[in-house]
Amino acid sequence: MLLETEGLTKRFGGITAVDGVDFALEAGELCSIIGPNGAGKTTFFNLLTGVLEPSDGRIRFDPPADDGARAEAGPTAAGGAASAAANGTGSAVDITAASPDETALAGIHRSYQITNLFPTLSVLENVRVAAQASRGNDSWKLWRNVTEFEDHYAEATAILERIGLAAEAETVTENLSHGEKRSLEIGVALAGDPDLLLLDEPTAGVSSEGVDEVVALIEDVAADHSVMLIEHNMEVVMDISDRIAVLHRGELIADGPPEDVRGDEAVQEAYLGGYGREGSAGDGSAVGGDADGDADGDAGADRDGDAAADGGRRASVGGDTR
Amino acid sequence: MIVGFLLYPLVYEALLATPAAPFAEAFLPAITFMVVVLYMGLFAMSFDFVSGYTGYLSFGHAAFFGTGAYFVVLAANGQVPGVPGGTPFMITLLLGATLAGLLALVIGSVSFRLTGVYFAMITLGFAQVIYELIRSWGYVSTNPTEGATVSGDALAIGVPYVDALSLDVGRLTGESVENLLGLGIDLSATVVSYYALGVVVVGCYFAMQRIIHSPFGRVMIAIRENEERARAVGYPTYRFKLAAFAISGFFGAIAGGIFAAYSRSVAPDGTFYFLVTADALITTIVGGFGTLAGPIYGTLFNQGLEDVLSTESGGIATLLREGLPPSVLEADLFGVSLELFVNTAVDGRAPLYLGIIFVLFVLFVPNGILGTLRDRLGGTVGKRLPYHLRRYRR
Repeated sequence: MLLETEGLTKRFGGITAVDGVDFALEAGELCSIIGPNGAGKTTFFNLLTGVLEPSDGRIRFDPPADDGARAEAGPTAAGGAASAAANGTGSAVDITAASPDETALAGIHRSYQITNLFPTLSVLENVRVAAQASRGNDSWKLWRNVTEFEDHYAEATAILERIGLAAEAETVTENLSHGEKRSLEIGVALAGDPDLLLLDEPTAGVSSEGVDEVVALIEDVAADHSVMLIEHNMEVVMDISDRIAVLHRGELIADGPPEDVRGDEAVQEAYLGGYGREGSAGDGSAVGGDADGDADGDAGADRDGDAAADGGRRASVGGDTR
Repeated sequence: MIVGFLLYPLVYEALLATPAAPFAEAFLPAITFMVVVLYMGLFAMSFDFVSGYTGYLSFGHAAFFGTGAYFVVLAANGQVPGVPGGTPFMITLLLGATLAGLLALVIGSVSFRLTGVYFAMITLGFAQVIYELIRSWGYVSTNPTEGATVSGDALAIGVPYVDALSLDVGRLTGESVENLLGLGIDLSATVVSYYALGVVVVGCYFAMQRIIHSPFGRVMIAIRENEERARAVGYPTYRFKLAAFAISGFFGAIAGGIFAAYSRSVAPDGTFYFLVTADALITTIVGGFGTLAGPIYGTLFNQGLEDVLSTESGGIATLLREGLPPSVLEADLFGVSLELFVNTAVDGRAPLYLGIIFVLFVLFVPNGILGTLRDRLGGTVGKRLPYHLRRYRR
C-alpha cells in the first residue's frame, strides 16, 4: 500500500471533521474522494499533508523505493519521514506528525481548491522554485547564481510543456486566466516529483469547455502518478476514477469501484441524490452543492455539528474494503 | 550608480571653487552627509534584505545596528573579553557582525513563531529591551545613557596589519591623502573616510545581491509571495527565515560598525533606539521595498533633503538669508517678514517635509523610487537602460 490511514480523526472543539477514517491507496491508483460540502474532504487532505495534526489515528506512507530519478532529501531535509523515504528502504514511514514540508519531501504533493500560487513571480519561476525544493542542498547554496542550476530550469520547462503553459513561461502568474491558473496549480504540485498527488477540486470555477482540458491533464498525470482527487463534477469522477471513496460527515461511508458506489443506497441518500440511478442525472452537473462558489465549504465542517451523533452508519461496498 | 558615488566628492569640491559655489553648497549634500548616506544606506539595505524579500518586517533592526556599533567601540577600548585592545578594526567589525548574526538567531527563533504585525511587534519589543539594558549598563561607560567613546587611535578600514593598505577613518582623526597617485588631487579626512566606508558598503551590497540571486534568495521570495505554498512544495520555511534574518543582522551590524568607526562615539539613542529602525523603514519605502539598491536611493533622497534644509551653513536658509537683498527679506508676507518665515518654515525643518513626502510616497509611489523606475523600464535598470537609450538615439 502506498498510503494507509488508521482510524484517522480530526476534531475542532466539539466538531469531528474527520471521524475514524480507515483508508488505503495502492500505488498507481486514481481514487476520487466525493461527498457533500462539509464532509471533511479537504480536512482529510490537510491531515495527509501535515497542515493539520490528527487528533487521533495514524498515517503511513510507503513510497516506491526505486525512485532513483529523484535527487531529493539531502542532509537538510527535515525529519525522519523524509530521510527514510530517500534512503529507499521501501519500508513504510509514519507521517502522522510530519509537517507540510516533510510530507512534501517524502513525496506527497497537493494542489489547492482555492488557487494558491506565487502571484507576482513568472509562471516558470513558480514551477522552478517548486522543483528546487526537492533538490535537497541546492536551496542552501548562497553563493551561486540561480541560473547556474540548469536542471531546475529544464525540469520546470518540461512540466510547463506537459501542462500546456510553455508559451506563458514568462507571464506574471497573477495575469493568467483562471483556467491556466488551475493547470499551473497541478504543475507546481508536479514539480516536486510526487509519489502521491492530491488534487483538491482542480476544476473548481473552470468553464465547461475548460473542464475537458483539465480532465485530460489529470488523466495524463494519473498515467504515471498515484492520484487522489476531490471533485464535485460527477461525470468527471465516474469517468476517470479507478475507485471512489465517499465521505459523509467525516466518515467514510463507501469505498469501491465507480459502478458499485453509484448503486450504493447510503451514498445515494447522502450525496448523489438520484445521480445515475435511472439515468436521469447524466447531465454532468455538479451535485452536493456549488462546486465553485463555496470555497471554504469543506474546511470547517461547521454545519455538521451532529457528525459524531450520526456515528456507526457505514456501508462497505464491493470487495475492495479492507 | 557606483561611479556617481565615486566621482561625487571630486565634483562637489570642484563646484565649490566656481562662482556657483553658494548654490552648490545649498542644494548638493555635503560630504559629511554623504558619509551618513553610506552607513544608513547599508543599514536600510540590510533591513530591506529581510523585510523586502521574506515579507517579515523587522522592526527591531536597530538592535543589530547597535550591536555592531557598540562591539566595535568596546573592542577598541579593550572592554570585550577575549578581544585585546589593539585588534584591527576590520576583525572587530566582523566579530561584531557575527555576534549580531547570532543575536538575530536568538531573536528570530522566538519571533518567527509569529507572523505579520505580531512579528514586527515582538522584534520591536526585543530591541527596546536591549535598548533599555544598554542605557543602564554601567560596564559600557561611566554614563551609559550618553553612550561610549573610542579612547584610543583612529580605526582603520583596509587589510589588517598592513598599514599601507589601511586608511584611518573619522571626521577629525582620519587620514588625509595629499597628491593622490601623483595626480595632484588632495583628499581631506572626510573624503578619505567617505571612500573607505564606501568600499565596505559596496562590498556588502554585492554580497547581499549575490545571495538574493542564489537559490536561497529565490526561496526567500517564495516565502514572501506565499509562505503556505512554499511549505507545501517542501521548504522548511522557519529555517530559511532564520537564516535570512541572521544574514540581515550581520550586515546591519556592519553598518553599525562603520558608523561607530567614523563617529568614534556611540549613544543608545543613535543606535539601539527604535527611531533608527524607523529611519531605515522610511528610506526603504521611499527608495523601493524589495529592491535592495533602492534603500540607498531613499537614504540619498532623505539626507539630501536634510542637508538642503539644514540649519548649519550650507542649507537653503543660509543661501536665502545671505543671497537676497535686505528689502526682500523684510518684505511683508501675511503679516510677518520673509526672513522670519524662512527661519520658521525652512531652517532645519527637514523632518516636517520628510514626513509629508513620506506620506505622498506611500499614497502615490508605493513601489518607491527604484521600484517605480524598474516598473517603467520593464526590468532592472542595468538590463533595460541600454534598450531605452537606443530608442532615443534613433
